[in-house]
Amino acid sequence: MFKEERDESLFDWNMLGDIRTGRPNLGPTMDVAVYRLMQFTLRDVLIKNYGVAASDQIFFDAGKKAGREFYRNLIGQCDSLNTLTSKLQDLLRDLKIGIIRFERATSENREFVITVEEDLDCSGLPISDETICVYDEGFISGILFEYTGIEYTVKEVDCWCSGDRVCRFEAKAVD
Amino acid sequence: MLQVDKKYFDMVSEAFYLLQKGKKAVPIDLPPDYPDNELRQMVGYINRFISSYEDLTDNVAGIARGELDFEIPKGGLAALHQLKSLQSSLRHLTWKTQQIASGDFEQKVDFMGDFSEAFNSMTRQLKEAFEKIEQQHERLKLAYETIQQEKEKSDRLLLNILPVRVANDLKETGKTVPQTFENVTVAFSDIVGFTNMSSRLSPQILINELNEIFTGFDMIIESNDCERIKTIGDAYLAVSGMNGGSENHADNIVKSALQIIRFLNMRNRTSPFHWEIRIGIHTGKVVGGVVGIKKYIYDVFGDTINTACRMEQNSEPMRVNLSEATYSIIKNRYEFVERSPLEVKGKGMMKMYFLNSRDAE
Repeated sequence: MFKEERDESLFDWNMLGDIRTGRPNLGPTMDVAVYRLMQFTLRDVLIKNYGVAASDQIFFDAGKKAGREFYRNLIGQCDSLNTLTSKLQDLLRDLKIGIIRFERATSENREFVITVEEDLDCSGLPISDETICVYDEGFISGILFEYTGIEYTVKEVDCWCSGDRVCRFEAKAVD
Repeated sequence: MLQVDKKYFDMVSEAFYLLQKGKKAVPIDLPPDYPDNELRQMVGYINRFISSYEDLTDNVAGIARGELDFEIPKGGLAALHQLKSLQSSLRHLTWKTQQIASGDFEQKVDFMGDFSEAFNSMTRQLKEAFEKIEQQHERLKLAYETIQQEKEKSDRLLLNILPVRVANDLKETGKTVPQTFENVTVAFSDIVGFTNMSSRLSPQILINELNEIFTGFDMIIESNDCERIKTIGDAYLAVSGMNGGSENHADNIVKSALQIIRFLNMRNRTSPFHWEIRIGIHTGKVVGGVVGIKKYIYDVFGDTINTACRMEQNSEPMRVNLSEATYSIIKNRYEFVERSPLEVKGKGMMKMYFLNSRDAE
């Protein structure tokens, strides 16, 4: 199930398990530092073995898969952009992923500018002149794909790590 | 030991003095051949600070003017970072406001301190106000529909008792001008022996009988492009040729008269009460109009009406008596029996014709 060889995604939401039953005492939450410990050690090993570009692609693809599953399983079908943004804002806040804010959306949903404050991945990291939230890029791309049926390139243009206090993403539909 | 010309300290002091006074500071210019030492390093930092501070000032001024769509440069100044955060919040608020303006009152703002509460409260109140307005709109719409239905009902009632033109005149101006109609055929009918009969019947039965009879007359009159003007007791007055009526007014009235007699004959075969009428017809000029300002009644006036009445008085039970004026219009279409001239009150001797009403029997 988890460790089968595969040529295509076998991820299923049920793989997340029954956390309430499994962690009756510790509950469903944990320290952000632990999440980051896993992410940055994983990144470290991936970069060492496959290089930066390949690692980024892996994070993007994983984020996109997560975004699509997040939309299908938690957000649910939205009949308007306003519904999507409201649900997304509430869910990301309640799950303590970050404070998402839509800054701009062009007509026909071709382009979006989205910011995330207090981001799970990067807020508080040391300044390094790098944009680091590749997983978030994929996550946003996956959600937008599920909502619109269109592929998006998502680029992080501002990041805590690059010295900004917000992570800003520009999403553009791929023609 | 580093030896520094005093003028460079003065330049640094001047730069910070100008910044403090809200003025533009000039970057410190070292000669190109100045040695690469600690002073050059320090001047480099100071010049970058001056440049970043200038960017910051420009960007703050832009935001103060409400300009949100510009790129804040990257830089190490914490103030620039916070400014970027402020720009993001303002852009987000603008976007949220646009969504609310488009009617989505479910939008909320999080984590912006007092502003979130004020904004969300405003949205809530807008939603309530909008819902209230919508409810009022619905109530008004309903009231309007009710008024429209009532108006249509009253219009129908009005048209029941008044010609269209007269009803419109009264609705629009509150008054109407009497109108003369040159060629109108008038039928006057009266029930034979009604007074005697009425003393023997209960008022309820009498009214029922009259109602049935006159309803039958009305249907006949309407189907022949004629109009009932009024009933006076057992008398029934109808015309054709008024208010956009047909040019075949004489024919319409005669046809109606025949059908009325046929209707009564048929009714008498099955009804416990037998009624007979006399009908008189005359053609000429009449004036139509509304008299009075209350309980509007459209009436017709003129000698033609009086003459039609005289024709009726000189008629016989279940017969139609025509004046010469009407006879001359339709003499070729029906069979008539010419009568000897009769003395008519106020008119002298008049020629009259009985309509041969065998086909009505």
